[in-house]
Amino acid sequence: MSATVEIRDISKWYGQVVALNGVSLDLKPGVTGLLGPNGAGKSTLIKVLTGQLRPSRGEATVLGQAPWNNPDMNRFMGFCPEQDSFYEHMTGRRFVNALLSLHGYSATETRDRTEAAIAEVGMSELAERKIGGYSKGMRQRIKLAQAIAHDPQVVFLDEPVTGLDPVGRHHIIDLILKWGGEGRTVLVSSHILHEVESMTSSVLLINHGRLLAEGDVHEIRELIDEHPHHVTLTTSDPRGLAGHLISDPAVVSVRFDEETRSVTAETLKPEEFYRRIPILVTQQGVNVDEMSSPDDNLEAVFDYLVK
Amino acid sequence: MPIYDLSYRHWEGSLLGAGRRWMVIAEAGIRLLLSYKKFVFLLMLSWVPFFVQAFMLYMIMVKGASMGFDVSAGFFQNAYAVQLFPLVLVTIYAGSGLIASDLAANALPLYFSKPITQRDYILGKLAIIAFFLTLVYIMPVLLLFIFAVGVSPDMEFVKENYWVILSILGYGALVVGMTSVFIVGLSSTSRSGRVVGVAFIAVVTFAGMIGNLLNLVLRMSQMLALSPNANLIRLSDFFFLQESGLRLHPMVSLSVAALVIAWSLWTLNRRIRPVEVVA
Repeated sequence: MSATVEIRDISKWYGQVVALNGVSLDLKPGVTGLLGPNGAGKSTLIKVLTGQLRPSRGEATVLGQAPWNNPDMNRFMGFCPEQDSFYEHMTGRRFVNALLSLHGYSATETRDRTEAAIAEVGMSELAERKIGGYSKGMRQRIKLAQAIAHDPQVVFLDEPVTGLDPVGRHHIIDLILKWGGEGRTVLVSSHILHEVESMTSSVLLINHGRLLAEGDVHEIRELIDEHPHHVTLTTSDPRGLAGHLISDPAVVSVRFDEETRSVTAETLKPEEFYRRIPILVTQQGVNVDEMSSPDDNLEAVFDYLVK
Repeated sequence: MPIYDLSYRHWEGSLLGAGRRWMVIAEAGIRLLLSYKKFVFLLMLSWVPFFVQAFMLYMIMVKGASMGFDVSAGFFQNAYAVQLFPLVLVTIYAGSGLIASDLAANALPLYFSKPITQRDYILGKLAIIAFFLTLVYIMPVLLLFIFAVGVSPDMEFVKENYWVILSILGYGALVVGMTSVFIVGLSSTSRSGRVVGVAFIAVVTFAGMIGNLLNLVLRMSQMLALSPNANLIRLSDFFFLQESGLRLHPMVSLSVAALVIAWSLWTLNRRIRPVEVVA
């Protein structure tokens, strides 16, 4: 299968700031995750690919054509920006219709495609409401509707599920999977690993403007799992909880802080550790108010990868 | 789920030509403004002077009433002076938010993810304001002239004033063009339409005050070139072939108009980008 998007040694800098640094990659039909922490260069890369930014160096082609200064390419590309791009007073239907009309379709075709796109994202019943009254999930969905209303072959989605509730997230992930299944090339950016995992196994890892790795998301997950994993638990009795955790064979070390009432455990077997916590709570009667893992933060993953 | 089954369909029908894409933006903007009742009311109010002047014109030309002036080039020049106030109001109402609201909504990346260019976008926005300014500024005066031709008892009026139609069109086009480009350019400098509206009033008012003040203090009539109103008066005298009371060369006023247009276009070129680059 040939690549629909090709990038060769792309760099983009703004004065002294290097946003992209010698990135080369190919994208094929299907969903690809673009994974990186905030400020990694994901949005810049997408803007280069959608022709909104001119690369300072290198070459990018989408469907064999350079996107920069080539608005006709936008007939074949769909773009869902990260930021809320909305006219609050407009209805969802009017928003999609207005943007779709810029493609130059006839009025009838524009209307039909608007309805089809709105239905696709499950917003038919809400389309006559003003965008100002939409929830975050509805806004994302209507934004996605305008991105796919013209049936693009290549779709760029910048953080499409960020800030959504689990139901909204599930709905949008299903849509993305569907579009990938239809043969479209879909590039989805995210800074959350498990979000990308739920959409695709094919990922690109980017940080500080550099492409660090590309390939199967499970390999990345293994890399993470090989590394000591930190889990922080908040409890009313940190000393007691630390005592229980230190005797756990999955735990390598324990650190507790009376002031913040937290215990941080280091483990080489995170799956096993996560299985034992509920047992500890129910059987030993240990109180755990909150559990979080700083290692889920992608910044930490990249620290592992570049070490 | 079957992967890569290529089940999507791509449009094979005809699309609007590249040269006409700006019309989509213009049409959408005009429709939007016409959906505001307050704005439609303002447009209707803008035509009140036309009816008053048409009545006066009828009384002079048909009933032979004496009102201290006759219907000639000066009458239509004055009609433009009367329409200046509606022009300013419509410019502020319709023009201030044209680009500012897009900037506020972060809509430029969305616009430019569609098959339109920067030129299409700017042209579309210009067409919106130019349409309404033509409606409230040029059309009333043009219709007055046509009305005068229609009610004149003989061909005398046409023989003496046929050239006035060119003055009406030329001067009207210059004012509408310059005002449209200026307000659209100004609108691209802020995310708030209100700020743009206030800035427009401030520029028009303060530039006029400074021009008049410098003219008085320095006794240099060319300082009037700073005053938008003085320039408009001088240009209208020039277009309607009237003796001017202002000691300001029309070429100076034309140069000021060219400078305003150049600044506006330069600003638009810098500001209208899909991505706001902070370097």
